[in-house]
Amino acid sequence: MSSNKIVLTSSDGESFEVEEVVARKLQIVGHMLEDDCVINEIPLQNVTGDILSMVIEYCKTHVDEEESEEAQTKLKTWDEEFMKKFDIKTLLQIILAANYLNVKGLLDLVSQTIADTIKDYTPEQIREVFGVENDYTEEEEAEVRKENAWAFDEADTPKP
Amino acid sequence: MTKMSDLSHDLVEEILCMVPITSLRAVRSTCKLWNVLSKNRILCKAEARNQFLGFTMMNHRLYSMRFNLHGIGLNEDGEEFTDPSIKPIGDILNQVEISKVFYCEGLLLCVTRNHSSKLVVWNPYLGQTRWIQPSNDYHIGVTYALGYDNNKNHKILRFFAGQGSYEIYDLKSNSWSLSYVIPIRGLKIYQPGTSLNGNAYFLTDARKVMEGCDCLLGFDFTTEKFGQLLSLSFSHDFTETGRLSCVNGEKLAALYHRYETFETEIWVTTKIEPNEVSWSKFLAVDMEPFTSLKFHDDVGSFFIEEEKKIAVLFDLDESERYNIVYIIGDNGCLKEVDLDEVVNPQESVEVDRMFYFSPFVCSCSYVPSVVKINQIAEHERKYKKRKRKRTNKKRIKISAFEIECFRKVTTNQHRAEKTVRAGYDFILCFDFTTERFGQILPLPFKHYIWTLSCVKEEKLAVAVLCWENTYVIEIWMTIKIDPNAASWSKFLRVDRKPPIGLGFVFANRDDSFFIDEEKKVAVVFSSDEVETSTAYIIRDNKYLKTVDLEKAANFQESLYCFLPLVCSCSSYYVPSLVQINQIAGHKSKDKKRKRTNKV
Repeated sequence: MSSNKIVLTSSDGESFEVEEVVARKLQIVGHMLEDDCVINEIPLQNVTGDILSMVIEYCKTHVDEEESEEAQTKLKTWDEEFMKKFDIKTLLQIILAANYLNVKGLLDLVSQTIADTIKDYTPEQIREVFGVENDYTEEEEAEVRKENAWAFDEADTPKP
Repeated sequence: MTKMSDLSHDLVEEILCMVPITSLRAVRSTCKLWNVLSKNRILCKAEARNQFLGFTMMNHRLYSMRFNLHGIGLNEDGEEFTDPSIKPIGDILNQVEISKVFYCEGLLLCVTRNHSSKLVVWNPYLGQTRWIQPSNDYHIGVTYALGYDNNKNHKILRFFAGQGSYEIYDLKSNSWSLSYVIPIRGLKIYQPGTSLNGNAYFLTDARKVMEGCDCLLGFDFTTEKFGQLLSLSFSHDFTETGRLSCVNGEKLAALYHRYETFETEIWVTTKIEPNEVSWSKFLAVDMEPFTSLKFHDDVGSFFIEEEKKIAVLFDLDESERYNIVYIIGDNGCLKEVDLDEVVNPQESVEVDRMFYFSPFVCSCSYVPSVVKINQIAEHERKYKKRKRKRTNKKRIKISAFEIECFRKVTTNQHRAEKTVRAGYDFILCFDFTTERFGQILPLPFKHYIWTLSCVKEEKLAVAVLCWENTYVIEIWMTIKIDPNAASWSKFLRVDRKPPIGLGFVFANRDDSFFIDEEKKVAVVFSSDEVETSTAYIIRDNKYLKTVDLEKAANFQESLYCFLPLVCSCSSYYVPSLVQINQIAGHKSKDKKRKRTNKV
């Protein structure tokens, strides 16, 4: 593969020049390149510059995914540190971008990060943090609780 | 700000899939959408580490049980061992008492504890229950297995040990098939079989078949037949007790415990097909210090954790009254837990050996299922509707006859019926000219229909009980009515509670009323608190007069609620010139008899 440079342009007009191998990590770009090999500037309508820069940062780091355990551990540590940088709002923007740009690894990483956040929260906290509206009536909420009475959660753990 | 609601449902599902099952309740309580999404596919798939979720039955109630294997066995993780948690599943099974429970890949089959032994299939993950009526009431020597065929149709196997026969219930077609004969005697029907890949496996009793060795017998839910007897390649004899379990939905495990030497061996299949099986040894432990372990093969049960190389045994103690759990590894017993203390330290939970059952139901950790056990519900509902319609017809005709005897023949007769549709009542008209029912005529208000009446043979009046407050009665009148359309206006409204203080507390379907449009008065025939037939004369927001009908009729004794008014048209009985022939006379007699019966 040639080390062709590709320019990615965000919705707010910011441009990023990246190696073709990095750009190909964005499957949406990969497909465009397969369809027509001569493109070297790609406009990405649904993603802003600040978010696109994060995605590119992820892709650059993951550009050669080595099989070795050592490399994998290193990448994993990098992923964890990378995710720590963002608040929920940014994470949601990144997941939308990763979905649109079709970056599977990043999509999974952000999903897992958000899932880990949900894991530690009560429904009230989840609603507050993720801006989810509580559309249950009191009775409906009681019904849901009743229906799931069999399930265990962290609160059920007896103290050792 | 970017919110969760900006994400597509697919993305939300992706995220929720990665949440561990211990957050299922929180996820479902967050909002309706998440609750719905969590039922489309299995969300919260991420397993909580070292946790086993199962179900157990104590005192004829179902409990869910979580078992933590932290700090036990190999791969020490430095975490401390915590006692298992057990909690009641709530009244999802309508508080019925249960005698037996069977498990198959996320679904539970419970047998109720009474002589009719109704069955209920429960999918905890979807919160669905499905009640099933057995084909007969036999319950002694009857056992069950839940499984599914190649098309993933779930079925119930029902054995009659005494008769040596079995029958199959198909959840999809909602029917029991004919009985078949069990080819082999000696199935250990006192212990539940183990479900694997939809099929059920049982142990046979050494004393009854194959020269003193227990065997494995598979039931294939696709062919609905038992397979060949499969040998247990490892040595054992009939003084040992055997029990099956399932490993991660992939393998079978068999446990044998030798009474005299306290040796316990667990073997795991390396290959299992309906007609072929091979085994490898998983654990061999000398339980010598724990001489209380008997491992009764009727009430004992176990599951294994392959990675940690440990097994968890559930058994009764020496008094045969308490549930004890032994966690064993290669080095012997690692831990002993008294389950009853866990459930309720204050009060001991005694085991009812009458109903032979093992405490741990899932033989591997519970894995949620999205199998919809109520799929035939639609079909059933339709059937019920049809059935109800049929009865309606009958009732409507009867009521029509009642009225016709006193009035000239009207073309149409209306009658309201409750339906399941949105929970509201509606009016249905039977057209005697076409001999057909018309369309369903919805009412413009959300009330329960109490009773119908006719106004001067021109209009229909309906007395309704208010949705929010059934003390409030409203009477509505049609502005227009034909078999396929109706429009309404309100005639009056009365609150039966003080200060109006109307005595009648019951609103029986048999009650009746008529109205006088000009005077804006309604006369309601009902019963009072002591069930004396009474007429109440009411006006909008006002109660005018009460008449004790039984006194008026000079009855010596109370008749308890007769049908007070047959002629529902107001003012007075309108004479008729219609000739009633013998047939009508006959029918009128018929009707009279019916009414007497009712009284």
